[in-house]
Amino acid sequence: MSARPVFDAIIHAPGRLQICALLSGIDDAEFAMIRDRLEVSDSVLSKHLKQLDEVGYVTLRKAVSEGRQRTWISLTSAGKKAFASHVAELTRMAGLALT
Amino acid sequence: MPQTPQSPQDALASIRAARSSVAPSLEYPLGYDLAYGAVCGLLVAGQGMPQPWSLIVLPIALGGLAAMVMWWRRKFGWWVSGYSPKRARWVAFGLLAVFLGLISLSLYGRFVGPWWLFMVSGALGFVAAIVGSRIWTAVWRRELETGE
Repeated sequence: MSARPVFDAIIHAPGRLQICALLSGIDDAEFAMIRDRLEVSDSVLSKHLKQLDEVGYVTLRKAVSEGRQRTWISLTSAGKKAFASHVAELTRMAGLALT
Repeated sequence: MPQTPQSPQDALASIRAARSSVAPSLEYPLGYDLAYGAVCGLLVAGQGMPQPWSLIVLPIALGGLAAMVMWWRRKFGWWVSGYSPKRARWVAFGLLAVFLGLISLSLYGRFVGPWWLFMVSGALGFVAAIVGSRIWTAVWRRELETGE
């Protein structure tokens, strides 16, 4: 079943859109992996994640690995749903632009 | 990756690029395949082994599986379970059905005979796991690239 098209201003910002896109294909990802893929600084990524966290689209989990604390991020079910709806709306808008 | 305002087309292109960027990091060593095959082969064969071996083999295989997940997370910085992606999960379900069939074969050998049947089912499990995981990976990569 395809998602109902709904534009989401929180997700649409380029950085947050890419974070959601990255996370949509996997279960979770480490902070550094997302930062490197997006080519942004720690502070920029933290700001985006804070905004996504505040609306309940991502969950952040701290875990110690090799003596260092790492943050793992995953999309919540609300985040997955919102992202799918946003992609559906973008697809609809792109179709309109072509006609 | 661009951080500026974007049209719907640009946004969709950036989504595809972001999803595809996970796939290039998927060049994992053959050793991972062999380890996964060994773990699955052990899980399958263990059911047909005489006691106490069937009990000994189970925690070894599960421990191996946990170690593999930890290794993957450390190396790549992300994780995806076989059943999460929409399309690729059907490959995982198919592989699960094959494993259940092979486990039944192991149990048949244990209770009916011949006793060595677990070696055959374990070897088949080893091969099925490697082939199945590579098929799963290919389907999943395609799913990422097409944005479905």
